Amino acid sequence: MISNGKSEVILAKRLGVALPNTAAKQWFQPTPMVPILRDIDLRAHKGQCLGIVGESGSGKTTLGRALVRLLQPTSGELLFEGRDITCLDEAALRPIRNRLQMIFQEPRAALNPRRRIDDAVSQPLLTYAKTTNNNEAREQARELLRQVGLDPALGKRYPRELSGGQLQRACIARAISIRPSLIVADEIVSGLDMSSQAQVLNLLDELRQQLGLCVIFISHDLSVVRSICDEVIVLLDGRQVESGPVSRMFSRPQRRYTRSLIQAVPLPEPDSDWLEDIIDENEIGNRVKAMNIEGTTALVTGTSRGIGRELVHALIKRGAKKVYATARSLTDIEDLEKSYPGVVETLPLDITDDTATLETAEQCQDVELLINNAGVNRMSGLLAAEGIDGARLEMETNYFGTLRMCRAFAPVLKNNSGGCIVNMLSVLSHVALPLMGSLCASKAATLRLTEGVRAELEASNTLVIAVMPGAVDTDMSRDFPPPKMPAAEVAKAVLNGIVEGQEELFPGEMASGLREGLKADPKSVEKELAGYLPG
Amino acid sequence: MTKILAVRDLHLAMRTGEKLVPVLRGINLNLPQGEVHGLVGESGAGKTMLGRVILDILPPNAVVTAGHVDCATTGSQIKSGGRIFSNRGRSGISLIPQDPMTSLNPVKKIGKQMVEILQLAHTGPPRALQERAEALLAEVRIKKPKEVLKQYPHHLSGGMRQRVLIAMAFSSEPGIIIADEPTTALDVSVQRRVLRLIRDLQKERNTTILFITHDLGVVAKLCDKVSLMHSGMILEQGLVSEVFHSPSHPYTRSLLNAIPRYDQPREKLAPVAEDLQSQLIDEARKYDQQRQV
Repeated sequence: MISNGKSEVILAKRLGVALPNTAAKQWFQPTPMVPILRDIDLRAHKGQCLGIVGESGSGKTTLGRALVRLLQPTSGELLFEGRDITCLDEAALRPIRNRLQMIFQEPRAALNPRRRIDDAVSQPLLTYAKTTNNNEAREQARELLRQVGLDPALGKRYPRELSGGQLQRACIARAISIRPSLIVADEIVSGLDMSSQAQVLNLLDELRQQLGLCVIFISHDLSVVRSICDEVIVLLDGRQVESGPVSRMFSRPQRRYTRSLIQAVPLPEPDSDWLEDIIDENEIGNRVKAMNIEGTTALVTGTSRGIGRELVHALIKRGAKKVYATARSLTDIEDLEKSYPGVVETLPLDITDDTATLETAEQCQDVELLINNAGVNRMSGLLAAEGIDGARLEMETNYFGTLRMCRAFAPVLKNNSGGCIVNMLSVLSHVALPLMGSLCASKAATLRLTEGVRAELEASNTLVIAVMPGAVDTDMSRDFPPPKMPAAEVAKAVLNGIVEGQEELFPGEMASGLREGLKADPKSVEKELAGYLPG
Repeated sequence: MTKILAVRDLHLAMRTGEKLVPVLRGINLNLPQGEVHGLVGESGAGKTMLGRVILDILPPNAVVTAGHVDCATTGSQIKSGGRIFSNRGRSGISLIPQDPMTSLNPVKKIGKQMVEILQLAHTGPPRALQERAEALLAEVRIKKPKEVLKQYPHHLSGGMRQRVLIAMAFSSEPGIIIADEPTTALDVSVQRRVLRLIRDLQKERNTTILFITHDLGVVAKLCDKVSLMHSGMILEQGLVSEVFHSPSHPYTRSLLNAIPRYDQPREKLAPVAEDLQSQLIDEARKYDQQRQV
């Protein structure tokens, strides 16, 4: 989220919350803590409405409660109107409590059933000594009820005598009575029918504009969020999946999870197919990081032929917004730009060149998906080769080239709230073939590189995928005997892996078979492969 | 198609002191076998009361003042002054309640509660019923049915609890099910899966469902026909495809406009206008006066 210079009402930096797990407590042992929220970054200004969305159990309410300091954060920083309130105790919080208000989901539970509405609404005025006179407080309460569109005569009634919509308005009146600067509204319309929901949302929006309130709006219903929020953050399992302006989030969600949340909202249009296309969430590897390809911007290296070229076709077929296609020589890829005008941009790039990779990153600031596909194979044994130049070239391209690209684009991805890096490797990362020992070594090194990059980016919300196909029908493996997998199939598997959040992919029967074999009996696999390409 | 449920000119009133306050005013509803019928309205429209008349679980102060409900699967007729039940009894109809938190007994294990329900419709040794319960849980796609049977309701998530209730509702193989806001308490992604489950079970068994909800979006995706209610009257009734594309009643149009939509640019929401609300209430009053005359 961009700061644009205005002072934030609330600012959270890498906020984490852990709660005690009393069920797992053992005698004479400290209560174990369960992390609920991790590394949440958010900021909201005066007059702004920030939405927090996610499924049940994603940590929305915990975050809301931490923001108004009903809970103590366990890590990170929380600033309210520029003041650090992360670790303030109750006494130190008291002077600012009146500026932090929360409205709850169940108005019937939030109001004392034995107190009249005007007493409930005027209580904060008395507590925070805005007035000491009971009658005056009630008079103000009546005025507040009028402000939220309720008949002041309703103030004499008890909560059970009012409808859910009316009670929620009363709760809003109570929250605004002491002029807060931040209001956390936790699922305040989920218990209401459509018409009362529209009324309460309109009211909250008007008050926000009139009073310059900063509103944190928690909801699982994205349609509601769309209608009232400016920015939104999406939570899953206590992690921030993505964040950004509401219009962008709805037109092209970066994450598959956000997209599934959007699609789960039933629009009032008859469509019986809507219930058909539900994906089984168990098939998703990393639900937090799984990407949405529709509307994404990708960069693919080595697109002059083979898998790289098929990846460009497949990305566009799946609705990518833009694809940067690179190759060492521009003449090899000119036709791509011609066949997809306005979508594909071709760039010359030699990934063994430091400056060139950095310049490309500078030029492609909107990349969310980086596919490192370029690589070379000299088809040489380690000892049989004439010198070590071939091995050096393979290492320079396959290993250092990938490393260069990862280093150049990691900051770009971070600016675009995460994204995804795909490194095209080979099952050869796991085995040593006698005739191409140096290639196997470079691929194995790149596999470790991929794992290292994944570990470094763990907290930054970037999906890092290692793709390890078997023999593919391309120029690079022309000397391999069949069966070979068509390059288009590999490209398809890669995109499926991105959408399913898989961190390791073994496309094709050969690769998956080899992987199983390596798990079961690595020695026999090695023996078999040694005879696979007879010298 | 055979008619499973017929509601004819049904009037229902609540006795408060000496007065009879009308709740339902001349409801007509026909459900053929295998139809999923949406019943939509705001809070207080009388949706739940209509469901309770059909289920014959009215509160003691509610009186059917005219009309009748014929239910083929239970062989019953509910009318003013009493009810007639055939020997088929109540197992022909069941309910999926709204609140999965309060509809299960918190101090009994899921297995025990399910067996209790199964005993009403089936006979057999306890072990057979236990196995039947397990099979039912597997059918509502609960992953480890054996373990869930041994758990208490508070061990389960809201979506799981709702699945248990759905399994119980389908356990007696009822011909008709009244689903009273079964997904209102769930989040959107869980709601979508639970709706899918209800639809799949309904298709397999050709069950008739009366689906009570305030969410027109859910009706659009799940139901074949829809009735819109306000102050105890049905204002519009028809095929979902027709009602949503060309609503004839101003109230229907107004409700459709009140729904926030993520696929359209942000604009101010339009709740149902006050004058339309009061106009509808006036019409209901006039209707009552005319009936008395």
